Amino acid sequence: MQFLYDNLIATVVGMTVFLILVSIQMRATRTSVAQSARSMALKQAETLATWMEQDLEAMGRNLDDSETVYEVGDRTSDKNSPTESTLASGEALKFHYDKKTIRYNVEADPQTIDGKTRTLYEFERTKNGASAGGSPTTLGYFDIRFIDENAEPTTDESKIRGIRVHFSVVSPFQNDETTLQEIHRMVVVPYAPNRD
Amino acid sequence: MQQTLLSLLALLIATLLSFNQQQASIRSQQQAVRAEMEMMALGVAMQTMEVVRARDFDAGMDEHSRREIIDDPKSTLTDISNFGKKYEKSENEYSNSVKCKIYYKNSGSKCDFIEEFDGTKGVVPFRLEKDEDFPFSVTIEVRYVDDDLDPPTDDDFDPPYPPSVKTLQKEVVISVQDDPPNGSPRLPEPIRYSQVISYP
Repeated sequence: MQFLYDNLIATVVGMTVFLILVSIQMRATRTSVAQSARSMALKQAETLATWMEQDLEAMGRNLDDSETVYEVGDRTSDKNSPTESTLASGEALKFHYDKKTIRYNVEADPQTIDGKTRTLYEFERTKNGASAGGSPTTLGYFDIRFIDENAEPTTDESKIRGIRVHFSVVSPFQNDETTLQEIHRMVVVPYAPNRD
Repeated sequence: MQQTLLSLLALLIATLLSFNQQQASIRSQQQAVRAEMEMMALGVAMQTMEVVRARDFDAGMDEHSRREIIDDPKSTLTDISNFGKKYEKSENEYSNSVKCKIYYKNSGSKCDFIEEFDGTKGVVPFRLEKDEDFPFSVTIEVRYVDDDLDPPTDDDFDPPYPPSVKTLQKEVVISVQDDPPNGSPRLPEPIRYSQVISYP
């Protein structure tokens, strides 16, 4: 203690430098966590968009006469969604192509993010009844709409020209260094069913 | 005196380290926002591409049969000098340049053929949530391409290819740039999304 008092100024300067270095280290750790979380969210969004694009482009290809092209499930209102709704009632979408039946199942799961409760969604894909892909419970919203030649949503099958998917992936770990807490994606593919 | 200078040097180095880290953090955040903007622009481009693809391949389809078009595209398909103009079937002629409707909330003319979209510009929003749209300005180009997806050439002419060369493939190129109401665009240059549409 005597030593510290004899060198008080040096002590103060040393402590200041130490505190600055500690804050740098802590910020670097938080940044690393935020970047890892963002990388995970981006990877999930990219994977989901890629095989969803392949699936929906094939919708209605080589159908039997007895098969319907698609069946859409019920929607629940969701203020976070650009369409103000989310497909979240078990079987969200069922469609056929190449003698396969594809089902998209979406289940809601309330979670706490940054101190606030928010409903997130888990996505599961099945092919002919067997599990064939999905996502963890990180979807902020998920909606599929059929659009006409002017990109307006429509339910009239004679006017459908494309399929538009809106979804978002919420970053699993968030802190002060998180740049984007939610990643939004819009995927649009053509609608061109044909029968054998 | 030496101790004072050394302590000042230590403080200066620590401050510079902290400042550099903050600069790196800002650059990282800007990069993240830019990457997200690119993906949003891609979504808008995909949607606009489907709007264009929903049209018939060429105004020549109104006047000629499928067989005639395949056998002789040079005589049956639209001349490139008429790209971006509205085909008036009742008068069998092309009007002045047309601004095609590329989104249901926009103004613009109803275009029925792919080549009418050449030169069309408009603003298409990317909706984030209710009443929160992020606008993107969209520009469309349409041109003929050959089987190698290059601008077609005629053996009788030197490049650049003459307007008389027509093929059964049209390349649609959509350029998308963010268009914020306040401030400058975040994307350094427009993203370009292209697809080739073939007939039949």
